[in-house]
Amino acid sequence: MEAIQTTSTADDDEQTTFEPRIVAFLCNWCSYAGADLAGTSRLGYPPNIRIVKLPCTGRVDPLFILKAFERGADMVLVSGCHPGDCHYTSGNYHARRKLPTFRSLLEFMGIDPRRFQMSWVSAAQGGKWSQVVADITALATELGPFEYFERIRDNRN
Amino acid sequence: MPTLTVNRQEIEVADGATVLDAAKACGLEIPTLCHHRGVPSAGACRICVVEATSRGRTRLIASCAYPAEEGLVVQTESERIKRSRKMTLELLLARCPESERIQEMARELGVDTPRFKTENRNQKCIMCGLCVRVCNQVIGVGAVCFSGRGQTREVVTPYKELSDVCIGCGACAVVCPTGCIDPAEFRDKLLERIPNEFNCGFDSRRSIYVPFPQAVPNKPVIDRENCIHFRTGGCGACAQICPAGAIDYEAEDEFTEEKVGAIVVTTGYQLYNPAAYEEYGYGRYPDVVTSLEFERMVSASGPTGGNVYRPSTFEYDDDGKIVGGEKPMVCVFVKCVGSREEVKHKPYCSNICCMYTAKHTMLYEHKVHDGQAFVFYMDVRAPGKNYEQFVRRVAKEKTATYIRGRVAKIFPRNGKMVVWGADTLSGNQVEIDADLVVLAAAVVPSSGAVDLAQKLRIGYDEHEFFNEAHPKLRPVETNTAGIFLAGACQAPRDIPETVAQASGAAAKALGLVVRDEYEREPIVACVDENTCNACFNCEPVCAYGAIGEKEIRDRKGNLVKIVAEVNPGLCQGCGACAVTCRSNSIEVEGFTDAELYAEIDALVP
Repeated sequence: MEAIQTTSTADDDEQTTFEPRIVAFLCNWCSYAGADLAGTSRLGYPPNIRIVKLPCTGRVDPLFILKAFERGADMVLVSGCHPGDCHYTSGNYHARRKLPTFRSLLEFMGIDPRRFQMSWVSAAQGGKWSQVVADITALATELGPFEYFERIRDNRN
Repeated sequence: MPTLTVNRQEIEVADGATVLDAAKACGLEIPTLCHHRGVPSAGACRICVVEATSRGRTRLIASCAYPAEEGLVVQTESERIKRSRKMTLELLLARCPESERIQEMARELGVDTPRFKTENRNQKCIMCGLCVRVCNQVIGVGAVCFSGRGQTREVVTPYKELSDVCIGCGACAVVCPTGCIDPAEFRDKLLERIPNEFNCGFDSRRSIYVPFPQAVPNKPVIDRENCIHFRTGGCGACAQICPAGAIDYEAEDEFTEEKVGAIVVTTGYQLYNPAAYEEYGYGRYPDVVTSLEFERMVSASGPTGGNVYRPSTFEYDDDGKIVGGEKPMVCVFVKCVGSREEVKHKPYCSNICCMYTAKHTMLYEHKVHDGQAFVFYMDVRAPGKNYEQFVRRVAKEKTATYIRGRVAKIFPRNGKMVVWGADTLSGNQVEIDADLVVLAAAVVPSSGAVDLAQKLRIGYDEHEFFNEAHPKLRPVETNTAGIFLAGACQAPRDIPETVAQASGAAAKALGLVVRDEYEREPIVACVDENTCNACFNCEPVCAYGAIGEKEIRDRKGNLVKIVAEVNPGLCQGCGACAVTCRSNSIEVEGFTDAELYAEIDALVP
């Protein structure tokens, strides 16, 4: 319910007040540690991001991403170790093959594929993390509210 | 194994031993000239004669060439032996009156002035042929030989010209008992000196050498590239001489496999090459050295024996050891060479340079009492225990003059190294005529550290220093379980910090391996045996081989079904199997689908 309220507020006010909600699936070893480093290094980044910690990007089930969209996320980010640096040897390779395929499926469904982003941020790249978040938040703001599932719900009602 | 009697003492010697070897084993000294333990004997000089009795017959024999036979009775001291040796020496002394070795031996045996005259006086060569034997039979090249007969017999190179086959190994000069072969004669041919890597190439080493004094294991290694055995197939002197028979030319590098419970990575650091600063001329001017090169010079076991010399004035002996040089009266230390230089070099502070430069100035004062030291610095960073006091002492006792500023250029002029710098505190340009310039180069990770990191799955930063699991709370662990870090592979560190970290890493590693039971992370995958239909799609995605088969049987032992099983000791909990499972039968503890959906629900209400 609240999701609808937030978007409607965004509609009422000017576009600049729209605050996108971004769900990020981060691997525990690189990107989550990178985000942690950004924090301990006192690097600022937009608060629009909500992080789900996973052991590895290989654990990201495409259904999680759909679920996040369904719940009203405006953008989903999957971020993990750089290729070759996976803590679990090959988890990010699984993600790298699987999720871009899923992205084309999103496009087929009519969801703007730009709403699903992937990045590689290592545990030492606090600065890169803050940059990635700033960039995708700017992109999400530009794309505006994501109302795909809402429309489906409204049509059904 | 023949047994013989030497001076009434029974001794058993190895097969193929000579009488000389047997006497040596008895602790007896027999004088020799033409014998060298690395070269086949010929019995040429007849100094080593002894009396040997076999089958009732006593004869004078050359002990170096006579085989130790079963039942031989040997006498090494007698009037007859003495007479024979004196006669031989008298003849040799007549031929070589100026040879020190012959003179010395003659004195020992009581030979004064020889009764014989020779027209061909003042020779040094005693025609023992040791050099010919070593060159032909040991080195295997045959660059010297005998020529002529009788009075005209002499040792020469073929056609009395420097031979093409000579490889300049100098073995002939080394074995010559009277020192009559001068390596200078074939200087052009002499093998190049092999720079001693441990001493930064200041002096030279042999092709078989102990890498450095405290090497572990403290054993010599063979440098195949320079070893004559590997170049010509000859020599083999070290193998013949080694009493333990430890030299094995056939040995190859081999891989050994060990199963271990923990790994401590201590790959250390190396210095940034200051040649990247073209304006400092490192590599072009010998008197511009790195701090590590200076460190070798001030080391008592270093190439100069602890003396500080200008490298451009090093004096070498024949062995390639540094025996002298000019002491630098003005020494300039330049700090932060490569460190804290974001644009072209390394942005980080190398941590150790401030302290070792202060130490270097003090050591320099100890070695060159009336020398003058100048230090160019950006900031003096001395945050350790008593560090500040040490730096203050250096400044207060006027051991060194600290100048705050950078050096712009170093160039030679009239035999000095001119250092152009800035004193930013007074705002003046500084010019110093230095004898020696020491560059405190940045600390960088050892080359090859990245390869190792990729093998061990250790993260590393953009400067290739290894990443710890957490900068504050897990400073000695890596993200890979069981792998620990110590020392400068992680960041530039000084000795106390390294020792502390290494102790921590050792304790962590021990804590892991001494336990009877392994404590694993709780986050592992587990299979729902009710829904698993044994498709084993999970098996290929598991990087750890943790998925196995499990048979489920009823009470009578009949097979009901086969399901996948996760070995919790191997499983690292990455969750790749959970995503792959089509029947949702594998879940990762702590990261189940239900938990994650709930989390998403909570995040996007």
